[in-house]
Amino acid sequence: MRMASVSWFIVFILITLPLGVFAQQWHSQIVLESKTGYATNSYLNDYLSEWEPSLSAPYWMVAPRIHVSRYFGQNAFSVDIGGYFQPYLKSDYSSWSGGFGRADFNRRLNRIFYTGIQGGFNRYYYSYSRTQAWVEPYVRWNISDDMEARLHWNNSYRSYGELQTDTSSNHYQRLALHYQWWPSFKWKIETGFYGNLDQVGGGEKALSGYFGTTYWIRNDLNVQVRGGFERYGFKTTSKRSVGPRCDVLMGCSVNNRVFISNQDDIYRLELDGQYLLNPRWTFNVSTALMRWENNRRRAPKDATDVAFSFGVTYSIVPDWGGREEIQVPTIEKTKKQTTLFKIKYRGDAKLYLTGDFNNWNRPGIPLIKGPNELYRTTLKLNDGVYEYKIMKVEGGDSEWLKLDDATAMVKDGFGGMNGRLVIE
Amino acid sequence: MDAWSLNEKGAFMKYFNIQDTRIALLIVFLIGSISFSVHQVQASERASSVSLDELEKVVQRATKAGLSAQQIEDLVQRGRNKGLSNQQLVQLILPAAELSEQDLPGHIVIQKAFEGLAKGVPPNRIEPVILDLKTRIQKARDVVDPWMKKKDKEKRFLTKNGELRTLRNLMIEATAHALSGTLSTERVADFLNHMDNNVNEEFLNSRSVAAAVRILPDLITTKEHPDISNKMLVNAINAGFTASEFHQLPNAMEMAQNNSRLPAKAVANGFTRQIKNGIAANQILQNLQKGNVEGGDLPPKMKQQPKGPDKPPAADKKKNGGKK
Repeated sequence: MRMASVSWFIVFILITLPLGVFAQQWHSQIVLESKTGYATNSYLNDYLSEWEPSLSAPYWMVAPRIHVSRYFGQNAFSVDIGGYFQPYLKSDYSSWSGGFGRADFNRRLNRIFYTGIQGGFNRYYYSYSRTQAWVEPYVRWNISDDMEARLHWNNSYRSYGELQTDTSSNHYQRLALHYQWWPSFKWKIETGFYGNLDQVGGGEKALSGYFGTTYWIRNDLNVQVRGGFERYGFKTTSKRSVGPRCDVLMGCSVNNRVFISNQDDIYRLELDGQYLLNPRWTFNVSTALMRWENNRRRAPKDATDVAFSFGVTYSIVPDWGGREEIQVPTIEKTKKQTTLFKIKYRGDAKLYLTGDFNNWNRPGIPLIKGPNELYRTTLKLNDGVYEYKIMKVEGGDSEWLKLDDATAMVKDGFGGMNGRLVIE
Repeated sequence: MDAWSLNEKGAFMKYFNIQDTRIALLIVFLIGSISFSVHQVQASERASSVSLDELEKVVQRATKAGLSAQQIEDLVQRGRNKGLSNQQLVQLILPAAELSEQDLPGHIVIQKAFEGLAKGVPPNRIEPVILDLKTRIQKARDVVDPWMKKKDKEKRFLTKNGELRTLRNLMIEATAHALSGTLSTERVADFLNHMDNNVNEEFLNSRSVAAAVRILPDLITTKEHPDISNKMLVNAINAGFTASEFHQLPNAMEMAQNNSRLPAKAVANGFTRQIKNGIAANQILQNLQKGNVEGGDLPPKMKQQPKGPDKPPAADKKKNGGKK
């Protein structure tokens, strides 16, 4: 298992490094989450969510990951890739290790509706391996400025390997409806319902729901209370020797399969607190209580599990160095009434600046190319707000340069956009 | 009809081959085109019935009202180069002159005319834009002038920021821009009243206040929750946002909404929390642009999947109990 842990960390490095280079054009964030605690069932672990009531022990965990995102026009894309390592503080227990990834693409259809698709995978090792993968298209509806509803159609696949019994795998489809409401600046209320589309077994359909609220005691401190209910209906098969049974088509067999349908109910109550020490350090405290009830004859008795943990998360936004073709123009006041206008541009065209400050005289003030593909000019301007455009002249052709999305811009009244320059 | 005339006519038609339908149609088309062109020229002449003297009078009126003579001359020259008639030039200059005569910033209209010409916009599309701008400037005066008389503006702004007149012009210009969307004059007046009652005087800065008004229609919360926009902007003024930072705010909030996939009010909540958490304005803007609504470098939540019935207790699997 240690080899598996090392392998996953190597995979993490190999994947994140190219992502980092990729991230030169994207927003990226490196996050290191660690915590320690005690749990009587790893089902209460957000990363693992694996039913293991026998693993009742203190533990610590570390999960490094990289988050990369990009927003372009009406589209947004994000990727998370990470590793996970969780040893138990008990000498005769193995460690959990593994890796995970998630990608999300969404498109804004209009101010109210978004549509997107999310997918992910994870693979964790203990004394056996578990692999999960899922893909879920979704629609998001901004009902109003303080209400949101989302409908997800989830397709999940899960398999187990290296169990003492045969390797098993399952496929599930479900619909999920989430709803969030911000009644005020201090409160957030959320609720959700899930329902499986497949017959999960024995004719029972699984469903679950949750209700939670978050309250900001201070701007850097919040608590969250969340209650949930889960019902699983699933079937098991059993081989019983009940004597030969004959069938016209299939013939006779000695062993018959007997289908047993079960129903498990799980009740949860969670209380989380989060404190933002500064932009990089976040502290978390979490407690959870879970009650499991089942109707199986030979199953273990109903059980209550608890978990407690506290941890710290460190995150940084690395500066990979800009490689974008066009960056947001910047200004720098060098002395009174003198402003240095700069824009990073990669290309062979000549650039000219025109706007209110030169009565929109074309082609405009030439931007002189300097080191690091930085084009610049000095403007003598009084304090105020100015509108501008940059003209790109290449060969005999000229056209307005499309500015980066993050540039402060304003509608020009003629159907286009102008850059907005504020001198103060 | 006698034989001679028939013969002569036949020869004539044969000589010119007029019986060819295609040529006949071509002639009809040419005659039609010429007639249309003549009509257009006459119409154009009627439209440019404004004489050079009359144009000169409008130019003089504009300069007398305080507009830059050099700018007006430049506009006339550029207009002529683009083929604008005297009438069309008058339609560009006269609204600016009228505004300046009313002690309103007419130079904005001149700049818009320059911009239209530089972008190759046809004159008949520049004129309505200019007239709309003129109307908005006049409406802005009706909001700003009454506001200037309230709450002792001279005492609150003058000592730090120079002339009261500068404040008025800044506010009129900002309000005129704010009214370019769906925002009403009542809505701007409501914001100004809210600001008067809630702003911390220590941080009052005329350029920041003008910038706040200017971006009001561009905020993602303004349409449905104007009260939230009011609170956000006053918080930002109190936090010492500069005019430049205000101008980056609408775009940053929109990017935050797109990147975080949160509703507008949640983004506004996050923005306010970051301000109250003491995070610097430029850092807040960067956070928002990256979709980091909650503040700082707070990492996005990472849960493998939402809890749900895809993970049954799996009690039927024989795991080894966790022991090595």
